[in-house]
Amino acid sequence: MNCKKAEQHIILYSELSIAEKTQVDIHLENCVACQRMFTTLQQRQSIFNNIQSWNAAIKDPVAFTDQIMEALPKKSVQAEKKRNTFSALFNWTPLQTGLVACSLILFFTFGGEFSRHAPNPQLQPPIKNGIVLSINLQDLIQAKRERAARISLADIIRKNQSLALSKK
Amino acid sequence: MHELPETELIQKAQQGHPLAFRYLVERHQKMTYTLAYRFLNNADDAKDIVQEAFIRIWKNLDQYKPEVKFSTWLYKITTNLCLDRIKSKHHQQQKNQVSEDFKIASSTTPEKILEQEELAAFVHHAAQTLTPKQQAVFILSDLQGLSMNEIEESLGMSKGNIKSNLYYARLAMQEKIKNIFFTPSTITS
Ligand SMILES: [Zn+2]
Repeated sequence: MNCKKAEQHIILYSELSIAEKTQVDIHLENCVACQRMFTTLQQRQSIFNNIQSWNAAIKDPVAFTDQIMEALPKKSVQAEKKRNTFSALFNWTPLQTGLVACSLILFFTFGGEFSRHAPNPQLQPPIKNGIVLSINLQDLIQAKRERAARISLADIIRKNQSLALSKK
Repeated sequence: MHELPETELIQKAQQGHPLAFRYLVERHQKMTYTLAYRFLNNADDAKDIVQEAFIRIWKNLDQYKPEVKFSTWLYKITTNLCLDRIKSKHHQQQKNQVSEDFKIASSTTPEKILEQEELAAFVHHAAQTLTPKQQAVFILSDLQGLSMNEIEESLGMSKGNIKSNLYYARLAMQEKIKNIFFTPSTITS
């Protein structure tokens, strides 16, 4: 390492890797001029380190905090709560998800049974058997699938009921 | 709530609790003010920046990434605001004014070890003559004592770029302070 390279390294001494520091140290052991420069630069650098502990004093810190808080744009805690409740819907545990899925299936399976026998069709909601009334081809295919699913689910429920009865 | 760990305060603040945010402000306002003051060397400007920094934090709490230290995020926002302020013409004019004031104030202190307060004022003033990048790197590294990684995070600069700016900043700053740091063995220049 020559003196020019050493000088560059001395300026950034604290940022050097251990290997680079070792190189500089070896040069310093053999070069009085660089050694002197190293001492001077380190002393000057210590001025900056000395200032690290200095803190600019805020005249009235509490009033300043008040001022900052007052300047904040208003956020409604209630709105945040609502948002969190909504987002919580998507953080269900597997058990919760299962329960909700089951109740939806039951609704779609048996909900239609009640509406089918409802006396006044005008009072009925615009949804029948979970299918929106304005029917298109997609809806028809979906309805067929659901009917098939309904039969198998009904079978399972019937089986379970008879099992439970036989246990009694 | 005051004793809560920072992560919990941030979570509560994210849910819109102003008190939690107030505690965060109380914890960090001194550090933020000192940082801004080092850049701008002016109490009113520094206060403006601190207020603006906390408003930005408050508005963008949703975007806070827990893997980054809250203080590093605050450093980043404050530094950017200071650099914008420095670049603005308005501040440039004020700076020239401060420059004149400082010459008068510091004319009586050439040959003594300065008190920390005076020393800080001198160094902050001298740092204002650096380029904005050099000033930012110098302040964060040598005056605030941030690590290379923290500076990288705060300034969005590569380590090589940081080191290069730090090199020129230190050269310039050492030149400026060489006449005020006196011990019997170093009165050479
Ligand atoms: Zn040498």
